[in-house]
Amino acid sequence: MEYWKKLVSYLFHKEWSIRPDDPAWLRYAALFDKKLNRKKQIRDIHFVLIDTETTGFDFRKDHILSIGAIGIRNYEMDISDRFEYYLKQEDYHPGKSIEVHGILPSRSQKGISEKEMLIQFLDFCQDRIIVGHHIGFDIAMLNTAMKKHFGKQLKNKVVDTGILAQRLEITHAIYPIDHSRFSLDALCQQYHIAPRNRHTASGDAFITGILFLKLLDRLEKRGISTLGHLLT
Amino acid sequence: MENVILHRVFDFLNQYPPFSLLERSVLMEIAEKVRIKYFPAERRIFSQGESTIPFIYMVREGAVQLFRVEEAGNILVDQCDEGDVFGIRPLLAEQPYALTAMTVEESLIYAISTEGLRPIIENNPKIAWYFAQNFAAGIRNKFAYHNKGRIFTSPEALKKVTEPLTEITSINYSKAPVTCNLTTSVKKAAKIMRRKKVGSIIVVSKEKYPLGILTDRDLRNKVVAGDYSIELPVSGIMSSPVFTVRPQLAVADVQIAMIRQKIHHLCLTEDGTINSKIVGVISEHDLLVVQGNNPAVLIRELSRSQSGKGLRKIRERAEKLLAEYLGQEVSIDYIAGIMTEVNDALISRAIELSIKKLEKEKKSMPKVRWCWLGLGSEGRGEQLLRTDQDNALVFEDVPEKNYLKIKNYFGDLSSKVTATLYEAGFAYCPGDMMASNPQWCKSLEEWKKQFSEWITQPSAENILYSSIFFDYRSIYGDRQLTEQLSEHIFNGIEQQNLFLSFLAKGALQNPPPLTFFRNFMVERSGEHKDKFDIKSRAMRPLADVARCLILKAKVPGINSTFRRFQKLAELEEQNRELYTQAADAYEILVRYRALQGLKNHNKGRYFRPSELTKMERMNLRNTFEPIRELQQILYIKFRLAYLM
Repeated sequence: MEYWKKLVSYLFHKEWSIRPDDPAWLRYAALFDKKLNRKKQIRDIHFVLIDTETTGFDFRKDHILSIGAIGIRNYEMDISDRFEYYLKQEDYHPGKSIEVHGILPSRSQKGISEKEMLIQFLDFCQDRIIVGHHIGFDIAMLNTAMKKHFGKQLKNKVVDTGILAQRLEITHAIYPIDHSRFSLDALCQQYHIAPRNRHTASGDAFITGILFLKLLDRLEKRGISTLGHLLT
Repeated sequence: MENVILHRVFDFLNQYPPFSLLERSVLMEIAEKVRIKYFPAERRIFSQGESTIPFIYMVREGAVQLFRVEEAGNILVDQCDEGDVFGIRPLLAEQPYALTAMTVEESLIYAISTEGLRPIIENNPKIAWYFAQNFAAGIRNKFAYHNKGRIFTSPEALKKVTEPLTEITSINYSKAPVTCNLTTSVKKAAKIMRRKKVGSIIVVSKEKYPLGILTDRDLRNKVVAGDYSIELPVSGIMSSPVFTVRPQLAVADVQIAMIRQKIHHLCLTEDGTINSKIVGVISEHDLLVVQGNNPAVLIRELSRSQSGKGLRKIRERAEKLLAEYLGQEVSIDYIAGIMTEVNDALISRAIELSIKKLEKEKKSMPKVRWCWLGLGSEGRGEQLLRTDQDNALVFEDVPEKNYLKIKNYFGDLSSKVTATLYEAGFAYCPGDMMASNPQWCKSLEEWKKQFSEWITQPSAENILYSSIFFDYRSIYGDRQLTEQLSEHIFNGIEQQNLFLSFLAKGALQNPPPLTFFRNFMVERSGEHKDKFDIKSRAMRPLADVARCLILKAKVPGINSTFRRFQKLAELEEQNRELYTQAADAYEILVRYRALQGLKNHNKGRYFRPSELTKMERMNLRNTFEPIRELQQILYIKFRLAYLM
């Protein structure tokens, strides 16, 4: 019964409830009209570091519980340019993931709605390059929500710090990659980053930001100096 | 919106003045406007003469040096590390930067907007005062790493440099030494001595090169009490060759030479060798006149002391001397040299007293060769304070029928000696590594076997023993025995290459001195909770590395860690700088520990990082720097990748 309800509401969302003409979306989408300048120097690129905490690891079924993001440009993070929210998820039943993020249903109840978060997020994020650790998952989660509320997906270019870290290792050309070495914890240790406030979305976004700064400088020393280089 | 990130910044700012002086809500506003900037190593943050931007800076992580750029080159004015504020020019005046700021290492810097700060300073006298005090001239404390001797002492503690470093040229010694020729008769020489009222006469060649010395003692022992005719030439009874030094040496040098050689007179010659013209004679007495509480006096008194308590009192005076030396920036090498002689004299006396006590109990010393060994820091000649005693005893191989009796005698002796040392203020070794433990009182053959076992079976426990026992040094008795043992050990190591690798692996097991945040790693629990253990976290790693490398280089006979590093610096051109740095670092640590111990009347091993001044923290942190690099060298040299 529950399943049918869900299916019906999903189909209806798709047909009638989506509003692709939402002003936040239009503002956001317009930013992507101009062509991406791949020659842009790293110092001039606007990045935004993102991390999410979710109810689980299935982006089709699970929901975002919190999101943290902070802007980076010119090797600098501006504290006033940040984005930190808890989300109110109606059908949040704490499962396994609560051991990781520790977000209680009562905390979630005090959050803002997913849609409200997305509207603000589009204004915050703009056409900046999204950066995160194993960011593919966060993007998938965000896109699920985006499709639900706007029938659209994020248009931003994306950079993964895990992959950047791998690019700095010469050895993987010869040896198979040991993926455990590129977990956020392992990289924090390698790059001497104090792992405080781990497993809160904002805390992880912040730490990943510092990791990204340290990686960027090392990549630049290897001649990776433009957006084009970063995105390849 | 949530504020996790904001709180992180707030929490950090709130740890350090002047921000810690602000109210929470005010600081929160400031934290809102912080920008976190990343700089790689050796990157300029701002330059002298450049116009300012409306931010002041604070080091979040890493280190920044401030320079004044002058024609002659850059002058280092200050080093800032975690929590330090710099570049406050824009807050004070609309003038360009007066200094250049450059990162030393990869750094995260908080840039704090001055926009909100100015009204705060105006409305908050505490903050205004802080800035006025700390940045009045745009300069804070002067950076002083280059001056090792001074960094842990306040200026008022620095008395004017006195005795030990005074050159002997400036003190009153006999500049017109009384001399005679090889052919002068004993009778004539004695007359000259009487006429000149001196206790010794130097026998010289035609060119006035010193050939020998004749003293009152020789006249008493060899002429009056012996059967040498007073008509015969002095050449038959003079002591020869004479010990010679340059007149430009410091008093402390001369003193050490006299103590080492067990002599009472030194000849000064033009170039310090016996093949140059004599320019003076200096006696122990001349030195005593210069100094009151001096090591030679202490050592003599130690050798006459009658009890453990007596030894303790004299050792306490030696501690005062130590404090003086530390205050006077005397090099640690000298200080360690003198304190080692003092300790050795004390141990020797404790042994003599114990032998006498046993005699009273009708236990007489068996007629065998034996030797008392100092281990650990005493073995390395680095024991400035009375820390734990670590010692062992070796006796020559004896027929089996006598073995037990002899072993029992030395067991009794060792128990008495360690008890006497305890009375004198040297705590018992908590691991019972003392000669009074039958395990560490053995015949030469047994010791050889013991070392062979350690070398061939490098278990974790055996490696630990090795790290303590390999720094042994003979203190009393027959040195030949220990030389035989050393030879055995070196041969053993040569045959068992892997041993050094295991020893090196052991040297890498020490806990690191700093945390992620470059804070001091403190003890988590126990008696010394929240205190820093300077011995195991900073000194032991260096001592362990030095031991491995010196054994690998097959250089015997150098026990002290800083001398080992100095030697290694000579031997390995490519690592000279690092080894020299390590020797310096070790000196600083030894000095610092001694000062802490004297101040707190303990062994100086544990202290709270919060009790250090910022400067002390920084200087100590600098001494940790070579550790990691040295451990990497071990890792590569001993191919530890295969063992880890």
